Amino acid sequence: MVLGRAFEDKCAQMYYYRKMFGFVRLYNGQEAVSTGFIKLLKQQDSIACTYRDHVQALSEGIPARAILSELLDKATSCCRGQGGSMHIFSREHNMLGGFAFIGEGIPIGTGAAFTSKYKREVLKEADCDHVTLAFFGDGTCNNGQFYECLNMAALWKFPFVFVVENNLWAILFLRFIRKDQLSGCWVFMWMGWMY
Amino acid sequence: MLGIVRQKMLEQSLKKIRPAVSVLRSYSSAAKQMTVREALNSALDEEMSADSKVFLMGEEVGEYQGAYKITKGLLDKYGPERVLDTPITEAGFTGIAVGAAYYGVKPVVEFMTFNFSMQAIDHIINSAAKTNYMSSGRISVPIVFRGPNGAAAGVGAQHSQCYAAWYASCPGLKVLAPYSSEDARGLLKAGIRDPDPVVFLENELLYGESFPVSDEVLDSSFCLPIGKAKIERKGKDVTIAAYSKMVGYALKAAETLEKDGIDAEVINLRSIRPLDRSTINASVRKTNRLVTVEEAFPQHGVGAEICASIVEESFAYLDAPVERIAGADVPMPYAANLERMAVPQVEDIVRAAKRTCYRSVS
Repeated sequence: MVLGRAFEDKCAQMYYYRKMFGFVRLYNGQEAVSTGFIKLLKQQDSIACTYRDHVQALSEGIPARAILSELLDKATSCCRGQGGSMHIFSREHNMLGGFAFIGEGIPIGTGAAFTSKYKREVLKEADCDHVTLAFFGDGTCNNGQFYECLNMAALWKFPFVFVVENNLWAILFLRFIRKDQLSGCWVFMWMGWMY
Repeated sequence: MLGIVRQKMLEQSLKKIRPAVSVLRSYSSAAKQMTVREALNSALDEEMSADSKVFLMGEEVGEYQGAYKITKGLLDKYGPERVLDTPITEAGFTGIAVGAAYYGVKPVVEFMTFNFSMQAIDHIINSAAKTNYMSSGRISVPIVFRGPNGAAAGVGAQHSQCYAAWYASCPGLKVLAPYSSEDARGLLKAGIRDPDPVVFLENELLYGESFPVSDEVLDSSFCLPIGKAKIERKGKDVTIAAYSKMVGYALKAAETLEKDGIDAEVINLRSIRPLDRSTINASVRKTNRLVTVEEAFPQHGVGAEICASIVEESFAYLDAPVERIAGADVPMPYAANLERMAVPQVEDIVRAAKRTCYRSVS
């Protein structure tokens, strides 16, 4: 958590020094959510998130140097400067990214959970019990793909956890200003377990 | 007069002999007839049998045996874990398939038509096509998106668009458009085996059409190379480049042109991305004239890209301006007569070819 906060503060500093450009979304104040969840995961479990993905990547074990190099356009980084702040991918740490459109990572994560079930039931890898987490914000709860995947994960019983990080903002829209915002803004978790 | 009667009697007696001749031929290497539907079904069956990581996903692919019966029999053979009937949620299930592909399983996603792929286009482009690049080559996405593309018959504007140009403009995707049963089998197998995302554009009106297939095509290891066009008909006067259903129209146009002394070379593109620029350019360098044919909207289309490629690489070889035949620049109308006018017909291709040869088109 402390590493996450220090990292994000450094990103802000680099941005103001014009060492970083474009879209950089910081996770200050939300560190506890993903750090707590990811601490409980095993190496083979996967996560998918939105563009606010630096601290999840750190918690997954991707070295801070590799992530910061990516943000500073270095070829030695985790994605050779080809992904950027919003697209941190790592095959070995099972970090599925980093997606620009909110809600885009949810079906991808659901697909990873599908694969876990497929490997167990069709490919007969009996020890495969990987779980997938998707992190996204309260604004994403307005997105159609969120509901589509809730339906399918429950229908097909995927090992998948939907984690809503309710920071009360939907892009630049603060929830308190509009009291009639849809109920998707409430914090809740929906467990789709296999058994 | 008597000579004509004798000729007609000869023709009639030859017609009676011919069936016996073809029976004799079947003992050697006569081509079997196969519909495009059977070709696609057999390709899916064989690939699913060969690799247990291949699975199908889409609306009505299972219990209904496929909206167009392409996946007939596969649910019974492989079970519901490998042939998944999805809810009507293109964005959701396409994303799920892409996420699964990140982990090495091989989904074949069916869109009932490619018009519905627009609901999922974010996942096709952003999650599938671009991921290999964004992850610096670490995550590959071995997924196939398949389904009917382009105009059908009387289905209206929202069910008739051709998406070849849209998908082919995106780096990271491979876009294939089969015409015959051989194309359907070979290209679908190649697409399923390919480690990159493949958009496989079929044509509803071709599903029931029968084509001859050789024993080589029927073999379960048969595969066609991606990125290679096929010269369906050799010629020397004008090159006609087309894909999907328009290849059939181009071949008919070539027969009509032959009667007028124009020997057309017909190229079946097969692969829209990567486009086989070298075959098209080599052909135009031989014939010096080009007509491109597509059913899609004209602006920024496949024909436009081919024209640009010719101008960039073979400009000095052109003896006439390139002719581009495409669908009308209008949403597809519903009325049958208007629909016929909105899609290229054989006469349009013949007229364009004659224009490139500076012949009168009347």
